[in-house]
Amino acid sequence: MSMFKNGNEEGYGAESNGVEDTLIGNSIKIEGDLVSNGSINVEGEVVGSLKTEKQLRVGEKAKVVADVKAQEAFIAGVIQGNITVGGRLELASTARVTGDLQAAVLSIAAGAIFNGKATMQETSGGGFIENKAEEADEE
Amino acid sequence: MYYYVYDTFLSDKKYEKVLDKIKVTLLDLDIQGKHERLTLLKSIDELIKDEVKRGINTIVILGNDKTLLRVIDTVGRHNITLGMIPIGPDNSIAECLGIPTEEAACEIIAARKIVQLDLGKANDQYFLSSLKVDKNINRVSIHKDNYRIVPQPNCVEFDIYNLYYPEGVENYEKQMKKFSPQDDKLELVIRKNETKKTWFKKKTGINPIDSIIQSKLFKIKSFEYLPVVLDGYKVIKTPVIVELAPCKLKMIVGKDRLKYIQ
Repeated sequence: MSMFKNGNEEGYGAESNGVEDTLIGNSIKIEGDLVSNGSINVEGEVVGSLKTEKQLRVGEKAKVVADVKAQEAFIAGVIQGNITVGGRLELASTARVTGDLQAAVLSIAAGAIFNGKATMQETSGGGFIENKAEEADEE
Repeated sequence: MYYYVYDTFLSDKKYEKVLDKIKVTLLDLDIQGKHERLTLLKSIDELIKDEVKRGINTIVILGNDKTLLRVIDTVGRHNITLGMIPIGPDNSIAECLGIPTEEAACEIIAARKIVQLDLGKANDQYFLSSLKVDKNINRVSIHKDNYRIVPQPNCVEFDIYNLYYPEGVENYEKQMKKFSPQDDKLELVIRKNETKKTWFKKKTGINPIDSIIQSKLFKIKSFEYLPVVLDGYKVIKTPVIVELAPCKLKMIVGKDRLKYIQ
């Protein structure tokens, strides 16, 4: 189950109730370093870097060419860049990620495409487990 | 001391009775003051400036949303309290602030419940509600912190809101909460073309919101001078620095105001 609902329900749609700070739709393109202390919902294009202290949601039609840092992330679109997540990182079946992943909890749905290296920090201890998943297309 | 300013449209005979009733109510409530009717030859800014010099500390405007928005720039520059007696149509802001129309508003003025509202500042102009750009969007870029926002071809309009007040306030209350005039932020709202057409839905005339970015400061730049409309009446040209003003608006409000206005 996704940790984020769809953008209209959760985000800045007509029924939203103030959870997110930034909604990037498909009618704009962001160029540069986007840093936010609130959640970010991307449905459009971002080029540069993306950093949030809270949740990040990258929608199905979104394209992010940036290094990404977030507390939690749900990815359903395209990301070209490294992803560092403090908590849970979820790749939906439509996700296409080219870059390295680092997360405490990682979930990759069947159908997602991931090309890169995944590094996970054990939640109980301090050690790292490295999964070299280069060219590992999940079917 | 109170200074009552009447909008020009109130010179119409059909408002005579209403204005008489208001004057009687003000007398009953013992909140009399100086009354001034605006004409095409009297600048509202100059009138207010003069009265502030004479020691007026509360201005009450009689009119509608447009009347209120027209005094914001001058009121923002002086430490004065603003009240409103809504008359006629187009009074959505008063509705948000819980101010009833006509003589019922006099009691709100007398009760004098004051809240502080954020003000926006575009270059050196204060605004309460919004700033809008809806022409040549593809020639504009908006800068915030270390990034810039580039509108794409399907973007038709962008606004920077401090207070959002669509008609039919009750239907939009949840959406309006995002645009609270007390959150110490401005909201950049990008709208796109409505693509879905249905047989059954009525066209609202408002393009759907596509993106929202909150900040205290935006810079609007363009390749050429482009018009930017402040509060629906004042036009300034790019480049524009839009920021949250350091001062607040002291506004007299009613108890039936929107819940998020404290």
